[in-house]
Amino acid sequence: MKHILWASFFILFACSKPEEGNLRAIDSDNFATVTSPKNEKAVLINLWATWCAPCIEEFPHLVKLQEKYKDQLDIVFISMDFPEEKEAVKAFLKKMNVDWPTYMNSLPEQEFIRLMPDDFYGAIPYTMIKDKHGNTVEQFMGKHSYDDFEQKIQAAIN
Amino acid sequence: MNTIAIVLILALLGASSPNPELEIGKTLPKADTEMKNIDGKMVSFNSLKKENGLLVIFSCNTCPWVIRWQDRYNELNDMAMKNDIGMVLVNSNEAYRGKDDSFEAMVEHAKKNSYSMPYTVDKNHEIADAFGANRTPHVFLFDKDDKLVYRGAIDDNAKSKEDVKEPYLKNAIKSIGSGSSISTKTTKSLGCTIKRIDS
Repeated sequence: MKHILWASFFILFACSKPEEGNLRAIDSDNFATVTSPKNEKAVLINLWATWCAPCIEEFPHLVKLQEKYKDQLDIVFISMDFPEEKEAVKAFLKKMNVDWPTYMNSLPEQEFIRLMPDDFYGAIPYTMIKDKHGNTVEQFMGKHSYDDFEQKIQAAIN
Repeated sequence: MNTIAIVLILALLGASSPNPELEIGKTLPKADTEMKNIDGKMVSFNSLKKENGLLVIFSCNTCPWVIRWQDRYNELNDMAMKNDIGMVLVNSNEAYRGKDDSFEAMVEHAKKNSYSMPYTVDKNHEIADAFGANRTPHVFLFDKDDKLVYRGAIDDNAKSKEDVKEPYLKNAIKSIGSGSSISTKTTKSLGCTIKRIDS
């Protein structure tokens, strides 16, 4: 009986664990909060995946920009990898030294699309920059350069 | 000065998004443009369309969304044929022609996955540009008058065809075949960007 109780406690604990390190699931409950500006900072949301070559090419630019503008900007990475690719996502984030909370889509395709702005047509990489008031400053479809991102980040924080 | 202006214009063009998607009701573009099919023969939309229309899907060899959806390609081709509609896959990933989307890789990919429909090379992504295609897979369905009647997703579940709740494209094909109107004319889907030369 004691063993059953301990096993039940362990299962309950394991199942209720809401997140694994800094890689968290994004769903319809937290989507709005995750993608909104906080603490008087602008926010940049980037949709990417480990198998998406242009995403991987632009990713280091965003990591550098997060460090450069850390007091004025939060960068939120949302991985569009499939659940079975979670370990690859974690390994890539570690390689890129991303040590802040990032997210992985856990929603069905159409549900995720419905939460996105009308201009999002479904392809990644996709990047959206909002100022501290939540106004959209820019939406980038496809891969972009460090300078493209920085120019719009500066517009969002000034 | 002129050189600087030209460089700036080219930089802007390189960073620009694809053309807007073809609107519902518009006529099939580039209908006579010849494309190389995986059997080595040249084909055009006009040579592939049938009595009731043509289904064009922008596709590629490696996009994980294509990989998950492609188990429906042959079923769609069967359904299109039964409804007297032609079907063609178009690969516009010109920036990857030296890599995973070479003609040889397309032939191999089609063979490995037993594609039953033409799979063609879109030289200089001319077709994708004319359609405003922006991802793979990206669906465009034309009726007997060459007018666009459905655009967007194959269905609402790439991962599992058994769990599809909204078979948008199959519904549209059935509607064309039966001569009824299509209820959902446009949808969106997750996918990979088309790898244009300047992208």
